[in-house]
Amino acid sequence: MARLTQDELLNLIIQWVRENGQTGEFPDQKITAETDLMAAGLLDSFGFIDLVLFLEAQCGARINLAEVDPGEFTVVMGLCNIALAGMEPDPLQPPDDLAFAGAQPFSD
Amino acid sequence: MARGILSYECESNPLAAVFAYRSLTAYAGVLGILAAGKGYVPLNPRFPVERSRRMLQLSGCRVVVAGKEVLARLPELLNGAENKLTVLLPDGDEGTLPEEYPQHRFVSGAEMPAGDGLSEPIVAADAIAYLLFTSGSTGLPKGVPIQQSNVCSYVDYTCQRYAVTEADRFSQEFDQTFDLSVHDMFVCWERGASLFCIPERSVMAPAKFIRDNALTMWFSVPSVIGALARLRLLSANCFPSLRYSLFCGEPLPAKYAEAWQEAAPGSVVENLYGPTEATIAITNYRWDKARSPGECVNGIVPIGWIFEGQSARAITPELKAATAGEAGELCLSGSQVTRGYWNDGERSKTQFVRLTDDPEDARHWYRTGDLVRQDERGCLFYVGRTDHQVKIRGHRVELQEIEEVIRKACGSAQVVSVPWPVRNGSGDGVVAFVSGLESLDQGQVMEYCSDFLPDYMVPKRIYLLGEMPLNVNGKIDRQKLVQLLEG
Repeated sequence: MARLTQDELLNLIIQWVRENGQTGEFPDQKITAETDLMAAGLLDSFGFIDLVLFLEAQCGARINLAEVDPGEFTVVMGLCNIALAGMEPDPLQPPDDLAFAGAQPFSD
Repeated sequence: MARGILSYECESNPLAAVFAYRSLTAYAGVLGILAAGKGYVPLNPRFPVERSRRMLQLSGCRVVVAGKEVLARLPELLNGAENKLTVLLPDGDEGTLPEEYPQHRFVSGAEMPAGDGLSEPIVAADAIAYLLFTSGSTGLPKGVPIQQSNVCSYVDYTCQRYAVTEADRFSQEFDQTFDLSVHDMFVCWERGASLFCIPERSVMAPAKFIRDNALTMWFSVPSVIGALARLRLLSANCFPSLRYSLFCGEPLPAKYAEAWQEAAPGSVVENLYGPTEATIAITNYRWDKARSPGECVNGIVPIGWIFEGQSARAITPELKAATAGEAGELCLSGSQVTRGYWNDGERSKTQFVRLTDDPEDARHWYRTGDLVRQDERGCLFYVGRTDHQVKIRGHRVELQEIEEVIRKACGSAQVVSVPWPVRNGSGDGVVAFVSGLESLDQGQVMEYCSDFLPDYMVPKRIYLLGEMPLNVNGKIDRQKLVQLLEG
């Protein structure tokens, strides 16, 4: 999978929010890198989870929200940077197929 | 706050409203109204304004405590408000509101009187502590008044059951318009513990918040577990500080209880159940990782045993006691159960009844509309809503049975089925919705269902959704699913 640039990722997020966010009340609302998606009422918490899972699927990143301040990841640029970090190979982690399941997902 | 309410309240009204959201004023407003000897009516800025205005009108409130976070929405609420209102803005400035709305009175923080000399109010046990509105079948919100004695009964029992101390650190997940917030606030404050209001953006993914604040008491809807799992935020012992983890508001899948227990191994996990009319929760089931999986029915954790001092019965449509193991409508009675609906005698008569099989029993029982089975031990098992027990082509069908088979077939716990299409109150078939998966092989799932279910119970269609639609209280909104089909 080709690695996305920051600009491509920003566009991907903004496009997804335009198509799936709650823009009904303000269809012309401007969405920029600085927009806080939840404070602006564009996404609720469920919509935000959908966005994170979409980004993971699109860019092959593992977006780790475990230690990130919510004030950071609900802003477009903040989420973009977290996704970019998730695309970097972590030198401390073994490859996925050998990884110990520290944060084991379960299918819900 | 209490002094302000008493100073500006021109009429002797038993209720005052709080229009605020997860702010200091939201909590101070609740406490101030109670300290003024009144009951509180929470309004939610996330609700459609028409609904809030209706709630304000139905409650008859003349005083509204408003937080600065809702100032922008205040004009919408005031437009068309029928009563002359006094709006207290303890942390805000009235700006141009007095000119725009001369019919109402506005009191800014600077104008609020000092609280010196305020004495503890003398409040009758049957005075209203809070008035909440739930959705009503007639289209109008339905007011449920909860008395001081109802709340005291719940808080006393719960504080004792969970041995709450001032060292405890409580989560505050629920909006104040959801009665489970009363547990967060008053069980916590009763013992001088600390309350941690979870910011809206963390409500469905609160893992970091729990760890950062070393919470000891957790209370949420089960859906939060599913959301955390999807984001891979549940791992073994990731919540070591929790002593108790309580879930309420919707059925708790066994899979969720297991996952949470692993994430919080030092915590007691309990499934609570209770309608608003019975004050927060009235039954509980303690999860035991060895015993409980065998006690779950259709993959759902039992709702357990009635609280000590309260009464529960499963009844038949003839208002007689159901036998052990027989499904019946759950009826509740006791000090936690309210006496009836707000200004709605007719509906109260229908829902608050006397049972016919025991003439000596003078108690009034609240008919929950929830279908349960009770085993020989007294343990209650939630089966569904009485109105979700359906007939499909003449056959009696419990939708949860279908849902459990689909859960097993597709590996997702988030499954809802509805009778569809429905003609003359009877369904021609069943349609199911699944979420929590990236893809779904519909044919494979239906084939699996055919192996376990008679043909009239096999879904005709299975839709994969990104998320289940939820109502304002975070429960799965079945009506919206039906609307999707109708649309």
